[in-house]
This record gives sequence, structure tokens and C-alpha cells, in this order.
Amino acid sequence: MRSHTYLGEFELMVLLTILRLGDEAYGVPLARELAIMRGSEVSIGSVYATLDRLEIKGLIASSLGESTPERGGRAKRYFRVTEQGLRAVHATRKILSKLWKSLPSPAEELA
Amino acid sequence: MKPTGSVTLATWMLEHLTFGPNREALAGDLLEELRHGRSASWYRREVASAIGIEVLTKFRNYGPRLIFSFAWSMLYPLWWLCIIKAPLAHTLFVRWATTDWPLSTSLGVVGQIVPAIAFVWLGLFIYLELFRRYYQIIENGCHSERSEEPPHFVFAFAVARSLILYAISEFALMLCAEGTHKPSALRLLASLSISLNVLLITTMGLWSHISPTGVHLSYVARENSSFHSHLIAISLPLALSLLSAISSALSHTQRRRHGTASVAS
Repeated sequence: MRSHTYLGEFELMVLLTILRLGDEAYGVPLARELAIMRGSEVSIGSVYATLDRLEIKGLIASSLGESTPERGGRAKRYFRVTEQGLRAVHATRKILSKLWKSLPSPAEELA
Repeated sequence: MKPTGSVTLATWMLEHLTFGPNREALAGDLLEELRHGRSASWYRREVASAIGIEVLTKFRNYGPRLIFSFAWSMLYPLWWLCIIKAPLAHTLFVRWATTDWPLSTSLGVVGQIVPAIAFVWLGLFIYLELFRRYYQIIENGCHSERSEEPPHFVFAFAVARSLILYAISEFALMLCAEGTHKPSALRLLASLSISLNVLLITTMGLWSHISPTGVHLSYVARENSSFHSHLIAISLPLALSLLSAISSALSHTQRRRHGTASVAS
């Protein structure tokens, strides 16, 4: 049986952001949304490196979109989460939820 | 709209120093951000970052096979020592030396090339076996039952098994195998052929480089146990040959894309 695909922190963030953006998920809005959520700048190159990795794992799929003059005639690449990707996100949430249940609050820890 | 003249060099570098399928999209995204008010220094930083990530990714993918190729080629003197110490090989070399020209020269060349090819191909089989076992451990070991064998035993077993059985039994199995991390028989044959070509070409290159210095290539190859500068020279064709074979055999496992690209109207 093939093993479960474990997601890294940034991979999970990228997957959730793609789901959040829906049909508008390409490099620029992905990086912007991630920057807003994380509260710090995100390099577009690192976003693409993660997207590439996720696509190789089969968790996302991409398709070429329209090319515009402001992009120097280069086409956008839109990303969507695959069924396998959605299952991986749910599985990761399940594992993390279990682990977070045993997380002590800072007040308890100090006491 | 900002002028893009100041970022021409950065754009050129992005297009020529990155190789991923998303290169075009990345370049377009960066230009789009630039046109929406980002500074040229931001653009250059992003390009440098993308190239850095690309280099790191490539090294992560090719690093192990590069290290293995060069480390394996360093064992060639020991391999050569084993061959010339073998009674059969010794007898053959003596017999070849006493034959008339041009047979003696031809057999001499064969005696140099065959051990080198066998050495490279053995390295390829060992690497493929280790690679396959590594992925078996990664894919199966984490979830289901934990393996009773410690990792070092697994690898020692893999090497020993490769030495004895791989060339015969695994190759036959490969003809009908559909394993994810196994190259097909055809790809393996192509890899062996490529390794042979690379070995011959690089050896000829090395020969043309060394011959003006007065050192004969066969003399360098026979320097079996001493470590001097020529050892590195003779190891280079072997390492490049093995690296090309491994890269060719495993090229299909690098990218298994699931998405299909289409152009929206």
C-alpha cells in the first residue's frame, strides 16, 4: 500500500491558499495572500518551488491561462487542488487536531 | 508604467538560469508585480532568490548521484588491483603480451576498457539497488510494520546482493516490472550505452590531455594502490560515465506530473 503523503508547514499553507483563492490561484495572488496571512513577505520563487513539489506529488494540478501585455506576453499558470491533495489536507488536519488537543496553555505551563 | 530596462539583465538571468516548467509563469508574475509598483531592486532580489532556490533544488536532486559517482570512481584502483591479482587475468595479460601485432595491441586495449566498463556498470547497478531500497524504506517503513533490520544491515545486504545477483536476476525481472522506482529494461540498456559512450569520449579527452606530458594512459590506470594526481585524472572519466548512466536511468523518476497544461481561450 502506498504511504500517506506528509505535508510540510509551507506546503499546507500553499494548499489552503489555493483552496481559498479558487479559480484565481496563480503566482501573484498566491504570494500576496500568503504574505497577508503570514504577516511577512513571501518570495514568489519559493512559492513556485513549493507548487512544483506539490504538483510532482500529485496534490495539485496546473493549467496555462491567458497571457497579457503587462506580463511581457507570458501566460499565467493557474493551480487547483486535486482530490488527492484535498485528502492530504484533511488527513493533516486530523493529525494536527489530535496533537493540538494535548497542547497546554501558557498559563497552565507557568503554573 | 515603470520602465523595465533596468531589469533586463535580471530577466535574462531568470530565463536562462532556471529550468523548471513554471519558469515562464514565474517571469510573468514578477513582471506583473513590477508593473504594479514593485521596485527594480525587489525584482532583482526575487530573481536572485528564484535562481538560488533552483540551484539548491538541483543539488538536492543530483547531489547524491554526483557524490556516489565520484566516491565509486575512487575505488577503481582497488578494482584494478583485484583484477590483476586474479590468476586468470594475470595469465590472460601474459598471453596477450606475447601475441603478435596487431592482436597484442587490440587485446591490450580490450584489457583496459573491459574492466573499466564492468566497474562503471557495477556501480550503476549498486546505485539503482540502493535507490530502490531507499524508496522502499521511505514508502513502506513509515506506516505499516516497522522493519526489524537496522538501516546499515539493509544497505550492506543490498550491496552484497547487488554484487552477486542483480546483474542476472533483477535484469530479467525488470523486463516485466512496473515498479515506480525501477527503470525499464530499455532505459537501462540506453543508460549502459550512454555510460559506455561517455567513458570512451572522456577517456579519449583524458588521453589527449595526458599524452603530451609523456605519461601513458595505461600506466596511469595501473597505478593501482598509490594515490597521486593521476588517480583523480583516471577517476574523472569513470565518475562522469557513471553519473551519466545513473542520471539517464533515473530521469523518469524525477518528474511525475499529474497536471495537464492547457491554454485557456
